[in-house]
Amino acid sequence: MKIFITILSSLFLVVSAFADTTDQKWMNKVEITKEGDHCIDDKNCFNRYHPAIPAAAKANPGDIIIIHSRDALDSQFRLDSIADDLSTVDLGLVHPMMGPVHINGAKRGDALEVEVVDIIPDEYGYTVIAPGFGFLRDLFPDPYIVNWKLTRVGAVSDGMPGITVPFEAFPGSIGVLPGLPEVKAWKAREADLAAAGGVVLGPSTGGALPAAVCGEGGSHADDCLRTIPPRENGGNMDVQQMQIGTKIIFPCFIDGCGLFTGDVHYAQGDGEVSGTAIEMGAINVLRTRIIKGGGKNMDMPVTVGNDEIRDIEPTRFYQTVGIPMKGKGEQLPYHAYLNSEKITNLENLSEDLTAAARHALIQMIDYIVREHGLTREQAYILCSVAVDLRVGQVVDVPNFVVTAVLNLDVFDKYRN
Amino acid sequence: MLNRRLFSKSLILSLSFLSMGHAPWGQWQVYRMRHMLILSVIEDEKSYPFSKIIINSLEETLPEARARPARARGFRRVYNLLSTDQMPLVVLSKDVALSLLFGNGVFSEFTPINMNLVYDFGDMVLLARPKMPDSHTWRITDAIIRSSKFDNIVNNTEIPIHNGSKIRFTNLPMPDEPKDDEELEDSPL
Repeated sequence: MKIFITILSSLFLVVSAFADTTDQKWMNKVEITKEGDHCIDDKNCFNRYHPAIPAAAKANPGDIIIIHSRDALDSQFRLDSIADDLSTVDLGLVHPMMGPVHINGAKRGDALEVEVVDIIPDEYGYTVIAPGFGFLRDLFPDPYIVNWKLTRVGAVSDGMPGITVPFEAFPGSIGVLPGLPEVKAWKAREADLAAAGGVVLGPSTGGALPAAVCGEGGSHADDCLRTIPPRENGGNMDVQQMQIGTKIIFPCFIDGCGLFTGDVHYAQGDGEVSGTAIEMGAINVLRTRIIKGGGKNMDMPVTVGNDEIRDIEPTRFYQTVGIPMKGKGEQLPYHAYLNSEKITNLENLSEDLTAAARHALIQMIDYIVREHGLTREQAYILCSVAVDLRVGQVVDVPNFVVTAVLNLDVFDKYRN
Repeated sequence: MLNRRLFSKSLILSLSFLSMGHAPWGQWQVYRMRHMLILSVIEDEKSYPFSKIIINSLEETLPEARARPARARGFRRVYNLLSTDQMPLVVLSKDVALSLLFGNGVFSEFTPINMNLVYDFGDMVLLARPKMPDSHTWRITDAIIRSSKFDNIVNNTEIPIHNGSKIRFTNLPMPDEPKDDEELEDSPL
């Protein structure tokens, strides 16, 4: 009997030793978690760019960097949010970024390769039509919101019945901090554009974080760059091909690079036409590699990948074709700063991709309303999260072509 | 008697001046410039539904204002929007309104905000920032009275009545509209 018990115990020990591998570790993890409800409560969160923003953490190349990030509007919406909430939103909070992470050994002039290892979505996301913002802001002047329930299977919403948007997450904003020469140069060129009537947001202290650097009376309050425009340091690029598994390479402008991310999108169409994707908080898992001297020949970030670009393609689609057409006498919002009567009075513009994109998109909205029974606002939202604006050609003068490609997979009626 | 186009224009101008100086995103102002937004807050449960009742009546008697509800998530946001003059009008329960004025109760974390009464509905009140032009609060008060949907409650609070509303309650004619942009911009608190 004693021998039997001994054998049984030995067997149990052997089995139990192989039953669980959670103790098997190889990752060296550097984790930046969220603190408090909003960016202002969190010492690891900021919403302006400047090299004086202190590092939240340090990591070695190859470390697994885990960053818990907030949504683009810093958690101002909930599952029960309604359109009437949009007018009270504080846009000074756009975009809360987490970090920056100092990458040991990286120097100005190097390049930083950032691999998107994983993205873990929150359970809630939203897409909004924000008054005065978005590609068709003149046609959709009123606020609208769709609240999404998220799993890795798909995003669904009571506000978008019959639709499931597939999980194709990527960081809407990811980048590295600019150096002082870049801040000076970018600020100057944007000021020139603003003076010419361009849509530019200059440095502003309202809601700016970290307050000690960028807020009212902060050490560099007049030089902290806004997060809305993407620039050479990356930032708010909103490029959906930066999927899990891809590597994004940035030029480094400061020693340590100052890697940051946030504003993660659960899914987005090429164009993000309403101004927002399916915006969400998320956990970002990243890994870096330094390319010595690699930043010197880079103008902008680049993305490299494998089959990720194929995996986000629809299996069935509907496509509209746009050429640079508009109403005679109509001034498109994008041309307002040109103050050109010549353009306003034309019905057909020359070699104009923006007007062609608008032409394709309006046709797509009409199609979705007509054939799928959505309201115009729902259709515009769907275009923002599941329609890709694509350049057809840029040679057949004067009519360059942009198409709008709807991923029909989002309609439950077409799927098992 | 009522020059509605002028009112609409001057309302838009005044609201834009009230808001543009502080809001960081100029494009966002398109909506706030097009509509007279009436602020309410989720944390004061009755305020949002009641703001919609007021707006429904204003759609009939003051359509040129294009009034719309604007619901804030919490009292902190109400404080921020009012104290920075990003929004001039708010509907609150009377006890919450008094807290706002005196910086106590639910607003005890904040400094008092100078607000004036536009209309006392009993349990609920409509308040305006004092810098809102008299002609505008006169018109809002007038529209509420003309709607005949609300009792005319005598103000029994410590909240001072806005000058424009006071003029309307005493059946005096509407004050002149603000003449130009500068007058609106320079109107004192």
